[in-house]
Amino acid sequence: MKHKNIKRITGLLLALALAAASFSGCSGKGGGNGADSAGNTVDGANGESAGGDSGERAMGRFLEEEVDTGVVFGNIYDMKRLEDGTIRLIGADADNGSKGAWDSKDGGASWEQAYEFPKEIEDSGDGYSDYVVLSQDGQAACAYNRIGGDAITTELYLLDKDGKARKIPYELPKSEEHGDVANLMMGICFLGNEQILVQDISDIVYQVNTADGSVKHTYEFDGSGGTHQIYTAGSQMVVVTEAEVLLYNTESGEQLPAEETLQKCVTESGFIHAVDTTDAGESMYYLTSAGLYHYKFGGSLMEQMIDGEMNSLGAPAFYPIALAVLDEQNILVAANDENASSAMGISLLKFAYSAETPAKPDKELKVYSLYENRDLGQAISRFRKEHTDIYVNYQVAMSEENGMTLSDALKTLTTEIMAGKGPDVLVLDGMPVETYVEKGILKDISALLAGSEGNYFEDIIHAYQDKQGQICAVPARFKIPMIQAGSAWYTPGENFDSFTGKKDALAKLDAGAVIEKFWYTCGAAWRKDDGTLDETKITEFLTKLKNAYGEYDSSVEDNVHTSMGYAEEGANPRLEQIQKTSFSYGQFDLAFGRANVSIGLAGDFEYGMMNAVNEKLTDGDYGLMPGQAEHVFVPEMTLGISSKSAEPETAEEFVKFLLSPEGQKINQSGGFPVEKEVFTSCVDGHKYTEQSSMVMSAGAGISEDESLSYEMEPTPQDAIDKITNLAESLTAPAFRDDVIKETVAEQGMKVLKGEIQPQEATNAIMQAVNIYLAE
Amino acid sequence: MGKKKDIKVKASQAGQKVRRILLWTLFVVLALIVLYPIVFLLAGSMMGNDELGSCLGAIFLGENGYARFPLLPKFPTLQHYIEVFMDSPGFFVMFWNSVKVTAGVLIGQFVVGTMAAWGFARYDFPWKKGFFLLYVILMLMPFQVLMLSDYLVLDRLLLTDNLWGIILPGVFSTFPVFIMYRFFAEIPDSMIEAAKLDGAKDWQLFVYLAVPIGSSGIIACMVLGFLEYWSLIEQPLTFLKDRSLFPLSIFLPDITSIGKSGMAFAVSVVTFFPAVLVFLGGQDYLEQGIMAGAVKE
Amino acid sequence: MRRKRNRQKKTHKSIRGFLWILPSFLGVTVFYLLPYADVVRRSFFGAVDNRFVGLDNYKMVIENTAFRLAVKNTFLFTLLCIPILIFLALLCAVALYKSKYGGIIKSAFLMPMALPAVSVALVWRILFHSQGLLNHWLAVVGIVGSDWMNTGNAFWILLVSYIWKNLGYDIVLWLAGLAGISTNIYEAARVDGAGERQCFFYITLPNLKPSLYTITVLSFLNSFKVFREAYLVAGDYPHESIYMMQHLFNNWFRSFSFDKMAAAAVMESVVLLALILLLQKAWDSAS
Repeated sequence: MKHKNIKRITGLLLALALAAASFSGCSGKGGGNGADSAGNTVDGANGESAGGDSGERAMGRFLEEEVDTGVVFGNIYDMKRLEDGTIRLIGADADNGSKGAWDSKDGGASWEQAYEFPKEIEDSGDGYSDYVVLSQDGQAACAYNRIGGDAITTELYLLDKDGKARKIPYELPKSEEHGDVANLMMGICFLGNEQILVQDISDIVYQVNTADGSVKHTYEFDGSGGTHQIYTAGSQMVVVTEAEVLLYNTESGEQLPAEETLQKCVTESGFIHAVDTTDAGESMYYLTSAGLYHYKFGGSLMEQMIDGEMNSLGAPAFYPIALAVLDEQNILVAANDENASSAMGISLLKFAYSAETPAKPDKELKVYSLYENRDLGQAISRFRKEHTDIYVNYQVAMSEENGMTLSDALKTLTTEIMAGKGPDVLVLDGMPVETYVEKGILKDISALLAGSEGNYFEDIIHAYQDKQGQICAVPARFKIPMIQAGSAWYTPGENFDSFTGKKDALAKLDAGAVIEKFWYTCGAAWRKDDGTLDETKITEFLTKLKNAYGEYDSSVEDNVHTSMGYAEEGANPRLEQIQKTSFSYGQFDLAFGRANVSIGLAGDFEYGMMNAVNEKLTDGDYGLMPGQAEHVFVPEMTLGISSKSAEPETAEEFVKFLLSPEGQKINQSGGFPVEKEVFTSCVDGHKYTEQSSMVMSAGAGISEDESLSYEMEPTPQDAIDKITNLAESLTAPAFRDDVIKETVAEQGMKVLKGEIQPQEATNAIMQAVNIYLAE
Repeated sequence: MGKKKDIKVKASQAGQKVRRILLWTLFVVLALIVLYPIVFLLAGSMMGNDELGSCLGAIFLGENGYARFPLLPKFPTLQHYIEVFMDSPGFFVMFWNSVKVTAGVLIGQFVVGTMAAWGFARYDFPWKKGFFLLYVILMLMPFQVLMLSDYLVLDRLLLTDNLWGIILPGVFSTFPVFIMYRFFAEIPDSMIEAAKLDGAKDWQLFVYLAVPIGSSGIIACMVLGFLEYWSLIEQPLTFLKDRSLFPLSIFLPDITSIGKSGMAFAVSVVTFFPAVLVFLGGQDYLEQGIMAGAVKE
Repeated sequence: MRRKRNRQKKTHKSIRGFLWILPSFLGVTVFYLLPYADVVRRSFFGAVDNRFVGLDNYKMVIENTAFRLAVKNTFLFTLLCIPILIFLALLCAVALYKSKYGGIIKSAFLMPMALPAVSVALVWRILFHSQGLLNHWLAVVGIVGSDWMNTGNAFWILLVSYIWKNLGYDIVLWLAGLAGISTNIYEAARVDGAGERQCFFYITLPNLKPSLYTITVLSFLNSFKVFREAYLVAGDYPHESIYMMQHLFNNWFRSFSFDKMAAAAVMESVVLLALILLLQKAWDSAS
């Protein structure tokens, strides 16, 4: 009876809602998102997918595969489908460094070199080719930077179909904005009728005749919106900025009215990375990180052909270079993909339409993290490639621009989990892990690790194992609190007491960062068995750090900020956080005497750098950061599976993948892998074996003279052993509780700045924390 | 004797005058203090990033010394407004979402709330007192208490991540009923009896008598409703996920950075502006509405 | 016979009366009562596992020190802020009543109410920061300020903030009440030789009593809203002097402590019920 009533009421309300919706025209969903409602269709079926529960499944999706070109490209400059159906690309062969054109006559399956760049534009001590573009008739235009004396000048060359070069008699005018610097070409684009567009360093675009070098039109943009990227579609010039798309008629040189549909879609889907057209400019295809779109000028058609969410297009470190639409069902994309399987990170992908594959994968796996995690994003895109039947929906709660606070994000997460709509896999990057485990939010996944003994750093992977042997959270990565200093300030293996006994050991460091870094190595020792904090330990922590920090010098702060090149505060909380605790950020200050020690969390190991810094020090060495707790590691990318997950098997498969060697070897500096072999390959510098002559030169922002040069070479065995032993020795997970950490950081900073006494700060900390712990 | 009294009266008049002047000075000073935060926001919204940086550096950049803040910007600029209006396409979407939510709630409250208030004020039915008490209690319940359960209900009705999930609970808020009840209750009985004698039906009474007489009370209630729903925070944060549905009230760029604090000021002013307009326009009703209700012989 | 008809008429009327409430009541049922019933149910069950635990949750909550602190603070705040606000507003209203420029002053006092909480928080942060404006001004005068939001002062700041925001509205409410008092009564009293003071105490105050209930309830309601600012300025864990019930609810929510939250909510509504009944009684006896 009661049930019936509820139903009736619901019906009534829904009717009311519908009536009101038609009245005020504001249906919460459905409107607005033009790209969404256009659907993911090529054959035009089922444009409006109303949640997928009505009617049968939509079929048809582009599947991605990596093209094996037989050449390892060090770079790809452009790629086009020519009029005769040949696909041509301009690239640089990574093996011998030579540049040239490659052709494929079979839709990208096999490639052969068409020509090598002629002598005039060969890379040599005299100059190098910088930008090369292709036209549909097979010509190429090349901006060649010639080095003569102290100046560089750009010359413009036209290559015919067979690679014969001719210099175009055109010279860039001097840039008004950058008077002294030589004006260089920063972009070129083919236009029909023997014309090309050339963009200079002040973003001015010249429409140049390729025959006589005469300039027909000049285009200038106002300075807002950052750089302007130019593309052509037929005789139209398409200018793209971060915020808008401008269109120009190149016949008349006039700007065309902005097209709203296009503008709106670009606003929603992001910066355009590549453009192609197949119909002389009536429509264009473009790539953004949200996928591939087809747009007909005038706004009559706008559809998303490929959803970037389901393939590499949406991966965080994927930067498309060129797009070639072969036909409606076959698309080639050349991209700079940091995590491509190819050695130089340049990959060529083919997207082929498969009518038999469901438009959306059957299974959806929701992955959640509070902060954007690039390692994870990359791993997801790799995982998607192998599991076309699984749609991985990665949600980042707190992004740069949404201004959501941690507390709000966690609240939303709580509601969703409780409503059974929560994520399947959680990256515990700020959630109270222990509370989650205690409340039964996370599933025991110890079975996943069974049989893997010896593959992982055992203490690390079992960081969250409870007394019953349950493991509800697993760190897939970890960071090591490290210290580097000359022997005057640090002796390897030294403990917290003796380290902090040296006055000024921590002098001139950023006060907030010092507290935060030592929080990791000390906090773990504060907890008493009953769950409360040990007051004496906190006082000791503050007193000793204050001693090692010495007098606060307010002039330091500005210094530290600029020299470390912090991102603008508040711009990206996560990035700021990483920089604040990072070990390597302090190394420059250490090397150039602005700090006595470098401390922080290390997530990767660059032997060359470590060595170069050591050489600048007297008896420099590195080791584990001292702290009240010893052998502490910081779990990163801690994974958990929701106990309410609708797809537990898929979730397990995903977590397994992240812990597998393949998932572990993805490295976007989010921490060391927990898998031992991958760890070794991560620190051994094997990637440098082939180019042992390369010299890395790293400079910090503060002064141009300050740079460290070191050879990039494989890590010597003793150094590998040392870092591996350090990792092996780690037993205690850092105390990760953001609420306590923030309180400690806030009060601790005041102590270091000399505003309050350690005892006062301890009281304040205990007061705040006691409320928290009592809850 | 008569003269003496006269002097006394004069003296007391003079004393009263002094007192009055003192009182008014006090009021003006108080009013200025009360208004200071608004002036502050206005000034901040027109300062360039450099000026904001030098004024508020102590707070946002951890510089030493104190923050300063001039009453007027030294180099006024509309930069932040341009940033808000031109360079943040999301702004207008949010603005419209706010308008939709507020309008939806107010229209709904106008229909549902007025009727209920009328019912409570003018009719007798079993457990009326109990119902009303229930309404008052529900009105006083903090949002956090019902948050999860509310979410579960909205989820069942497919209203999460949908503006209706914000609007409908707002429509059925018991606050307007409480406000308007007081008001309807005090329409003189004689008036209603007279209308009844003229043969007015119940609904005619409501439409032609209650609503017009009550218009100022209803408007007063709407003004309060506007303020409430225009600056709603918790509900959208909990029930909405799709950023394109967020209302203006939660469009707050991270104000911990200088670069964005200017924009935060500007957004504050822009958000404040419609509220002030509504407030100024409805202020008289705010008073009249309640006043008329309180008139009692 | 006649009597019977009368009664019939009455029952008829009662149903009609309820019809007016019905749309509202249906909505209230769906969006408030059902959720509330769910909260009551939850107060007897475990948070995530949904196991029946009887009164354990209540016991747990009452013994919880954070809960006790929050209750203490909330009571203290409400008990202080409402009388102060109501009294101040009455003073202002009486002073402003029937004066020429009262309207302008009143408008000024009303302004803060229109300011969104987020903006208020922004201003508060800058004003009350340890290196903020207030301390700057104090330093100019030669007084050493304090870290306002992180000391016991936070409580008073919250109080002032509440009064700042609601004074205008309460003045308006009082003014409305004042306007409701018929001038005839004053004139009659004056004829009887009553002075201004007597008029105020024997006519104005008693006649304002009916307004008091509304004003108190509304002020009470608005006292909850001050949490928004407190939260936006000081976050989840503010200084212990301003740690309110809503902070606790908020934090419990985040950590999946729905059991405790529900129990505390039920207790809170019982207290609210008692308060309202008390107020109503006082009001009923007055009018």
